[in-house]
Amino acid sequence: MDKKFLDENGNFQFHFGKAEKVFQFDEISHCIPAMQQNVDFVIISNKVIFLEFKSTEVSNINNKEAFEKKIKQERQKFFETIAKKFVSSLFWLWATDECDREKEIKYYFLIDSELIDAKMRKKFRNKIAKQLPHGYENYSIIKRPILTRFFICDMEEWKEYFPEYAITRIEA
Amino acid sequence: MKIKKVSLNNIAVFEEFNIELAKGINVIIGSNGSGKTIFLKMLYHTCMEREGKVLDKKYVRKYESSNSHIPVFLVRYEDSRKREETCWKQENGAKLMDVHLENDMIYIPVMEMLSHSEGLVPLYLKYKLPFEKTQIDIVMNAQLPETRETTQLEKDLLKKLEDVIGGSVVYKEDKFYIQHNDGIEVEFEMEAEGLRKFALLWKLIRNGLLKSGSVLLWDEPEANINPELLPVLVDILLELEKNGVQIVLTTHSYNLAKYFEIKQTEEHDVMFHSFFRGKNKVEVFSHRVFGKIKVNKLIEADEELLDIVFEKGLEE
Repeated sequence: MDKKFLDENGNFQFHFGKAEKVFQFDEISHCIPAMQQNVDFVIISNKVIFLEFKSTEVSNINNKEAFEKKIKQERQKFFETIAKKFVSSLFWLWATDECDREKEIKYYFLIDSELIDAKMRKKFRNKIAKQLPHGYENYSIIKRPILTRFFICDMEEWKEYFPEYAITRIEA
Repeated sequence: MKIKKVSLNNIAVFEEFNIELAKGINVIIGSNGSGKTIFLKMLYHTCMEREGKVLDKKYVRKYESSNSHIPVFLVRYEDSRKREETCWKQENGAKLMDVHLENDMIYIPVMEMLSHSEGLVPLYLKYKLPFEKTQIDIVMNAQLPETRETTQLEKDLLKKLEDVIGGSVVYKEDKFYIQHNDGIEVEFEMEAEGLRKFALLWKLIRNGLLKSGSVLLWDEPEANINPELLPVLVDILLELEKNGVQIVLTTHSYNLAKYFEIKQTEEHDVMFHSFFRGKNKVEVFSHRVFGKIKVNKLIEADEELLDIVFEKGLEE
């Protein structure tokens, strides 16, 4: 796959060349209602990885302050948004028939921020996970897997989990 | 004076250990037995003791083999004229050079001592009492008279502390009291231990002992302090640091360390150090970002609990 993937601000490049397919919801933005938000990428290989990416370690101070404001003052809404992005994205992925029902689905929220340390990431994970589908495996009426696991990681952890999907900073 | 580098060889848990300190605030974390308190005590004793003083045998590292291992403690520091000097401390009286303290070095131990002050110092000077020198010295420092004048910074800090303790500190007839705003004097031991720590800080500042060029060593400042008062404590220490006090403290508190991280500004110089047992010896990892410290026991302990809560939440 030769396509270049960049974050919305053009600060990072995502090297997804080894994936079977990478889905970005911009491709079907004409179908999606304006207010609905989705994750940044869906990476499809032997599993389906939903990736939401946030970085404050960039020169754009406005982005950093906006993110910090969300964490401090609108935290609950922020958690709800991250959860809703997955649900909405999964819906549209199914609608485009891109999601093989046999493949495991995992959701990664990558936060690149010096202040959001490992403890804080786990606290956020616990809060957001409650709003994601879980426990449904116990009910036979649910016929297909929805979400295997939700993770919040930083850049180093992402590199450990997925060395084949490097994320690099674009130097100004 | 600013301590820049400290090395320990063959002292207590330290076989070969080197650490570079920030000129501002140094936050040391590590599990029990990693040498945090010994490090602070050795730093204090080395800087305070006169040349020729023999290192107490209890600090000498013990080895299984009978080969001799000479204990060495080295402090590299910068004085007000930016000169760098070195002080060595070896067994058998070979302390080669005094540390030229231009201002005070204050050590605050974990155990609150001012409530035990009555008669303590004369007894200690005459008899062998089960107290360490750091515990006696802090009492003696608090017993010193107040300075004639206070700077505006000192006034501001004293006011912040008075808001916490509800008054000021009085020393009379060999005892300490908190004189509350309504005029009532309460003996130190009747006050909450956490508030006594703020009161001690008040007295040290009022006595002129924490000013530019001073060094403050504090072992677990968070002990017995109400968590909601930690940000106040951090504000005060950051203010002291901005005005030239070098601070080295140990902590088991994630919140305390995190407050330093989030409250510091570009005017501050804060460094985090993790003491941990590497391959058969104690090592240190230092970083300006608390979350980036390798072997961060404060975060790891909470991570484990959060994982348990997470798994339980998914089951329910």
